[in-house]
Amino acid sequence: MLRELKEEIASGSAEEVISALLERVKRSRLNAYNVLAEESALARARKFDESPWDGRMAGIPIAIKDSISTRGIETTCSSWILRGYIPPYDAHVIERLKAEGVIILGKTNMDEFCMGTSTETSCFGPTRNPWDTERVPGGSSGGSAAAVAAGEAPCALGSDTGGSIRCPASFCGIVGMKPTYGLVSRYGLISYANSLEQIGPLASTVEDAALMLDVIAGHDPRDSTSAKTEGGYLDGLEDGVRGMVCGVPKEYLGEGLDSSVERSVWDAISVLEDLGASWREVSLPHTRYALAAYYIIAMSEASSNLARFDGLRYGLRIGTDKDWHTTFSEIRAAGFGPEVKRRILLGTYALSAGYYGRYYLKALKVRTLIKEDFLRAFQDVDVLVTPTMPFPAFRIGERIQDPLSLYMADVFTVPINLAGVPAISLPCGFAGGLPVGLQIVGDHFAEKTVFRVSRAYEDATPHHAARPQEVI
Amino acid sequence: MISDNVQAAAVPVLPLVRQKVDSLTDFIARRRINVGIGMITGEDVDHISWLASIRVAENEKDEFVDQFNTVLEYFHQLDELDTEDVEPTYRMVELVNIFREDEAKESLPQEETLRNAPKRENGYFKSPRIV
Repeated sequence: MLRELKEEIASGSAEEVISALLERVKRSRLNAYNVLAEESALARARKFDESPWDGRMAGIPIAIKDSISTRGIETTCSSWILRGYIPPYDAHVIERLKAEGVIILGKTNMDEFCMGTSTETSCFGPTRNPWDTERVPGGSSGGSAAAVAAGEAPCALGSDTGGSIRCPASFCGIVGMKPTYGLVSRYGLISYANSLEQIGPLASTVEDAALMLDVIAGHDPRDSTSAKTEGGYLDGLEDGVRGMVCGVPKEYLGEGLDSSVERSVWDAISVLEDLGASWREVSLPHTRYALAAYYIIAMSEASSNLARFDGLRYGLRIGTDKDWHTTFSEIRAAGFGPEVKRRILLGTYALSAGYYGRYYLKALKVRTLIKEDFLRAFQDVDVLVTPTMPFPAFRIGERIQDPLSLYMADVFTVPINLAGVPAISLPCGFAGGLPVGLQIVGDHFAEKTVFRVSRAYEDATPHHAARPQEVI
Repeated sequence: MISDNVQAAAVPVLPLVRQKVDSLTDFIARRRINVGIGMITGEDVDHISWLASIRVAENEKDEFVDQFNTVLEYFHQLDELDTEDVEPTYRMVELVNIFREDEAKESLPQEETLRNAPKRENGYFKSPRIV
């Protein structure tokens, strides 16, 4: 799709394409965007039309999750505490996208500081699911996913700490990819849980996602965890799955799983079998401990990473200054929403004297066991095939009052972040009119394999072509 | 929405700060008494809120106590696992020292650095008083 769009823009007008998108966003009530970069997008489009530049994504409009720093465009993480903050620099991924010629449309809505599964904790209000506006789009990259699904952006970037790209891709019926930890530089990504999160693409097709990952992945000395990588994710995309072995983890199917979701996943496995792959059951025995370990680690890291928000160098500064500690405590109390406070406070508790060993260290040891589960499985299989989410999109307001029930929704996505392996969510059918996502997981740095299996499945099924009606 | 919060911020400072704690070390040492009980109390929430520099209003406290205990109870299922001989995984990639030449590069101009600061004075960020 991006390939065709690039040709269309090159032979037609970038300004027309951008104007039409901006109009579509403005009449939509999905609330997918926090900020539209209308002026700069139109100016850049006009410049492109005057003298087109080269680049693998030349002239292509893109939406960026509001957790990623964009020079000159307000970046808030959907939090009061960052309202009005205009980054003086671009994230590494933005530098790379600009170097390949993209035009940034705006910043998309998200759960505040990426902390959520529904995009309901945003200070800008919830984003709506384009398939059913009474339902959530998933989260935390809900704005990016809803925008792509509803045709308000041809592609978008998200960030994924415990499922934040894959969950909304699943709920909105699009493709979303979380790369191997370290593949994409986190420079300029506003940190939530730095040992778990990665930036990745949300797109309409596997090929688009592969192209975007090809552009944004690469070594960056400004991120000390950045890997030296080879890229080339479009190579071998169409090589098929003949002879490949898919692992189906028994812990991911069965009790607690929506029956329509389970049926869609088994249907997908049959499709892969028809294409020449085989499947076998595998076991990831520590799966049931992943949620607890994930939330302890994520909250602990959050309590440290979010210490920087104090209203001193940027962001919210309220009231008259009192003493140092009181001033900051009041600014942070006013600027952070309830879920962010919960996670910072619980993370602070988990790291505080006397509790470190019981919670944080214990969780890191469990993480080792979970990682070993995956490494053992990949000795026998090429990819793992699972549902992305245990159920389709839920109603706005249904889970937000009960933090633990919301955390439970991440049961199939967080183990992947704990293990640091890559995973994609693909549309694999519908349950009660709502999209269902198929998760394909690969070994560390096996993105090419994940894309290849995904592409074979996509070619053989019609699900990715389904689009919701425009929501006005 | 924000104006409500601003008003709430006028509530008196944390009781824990008023205790005039001699030093953080003493304070933490006294708190160790509760270790192992595994239930959070209102007093714990005061302590955590002080450590995290987030004021928690009296009317928020009960809800936080309930929610924290529900979540912690869930976390305690990790106790089922024997991890005595398991090494912790702090990060996903093996880190080694990578050296580079110490070369001066251009940094952000001062004006741009200060542009987002709500309060500034003579080219500096203006902080609340420290002592």
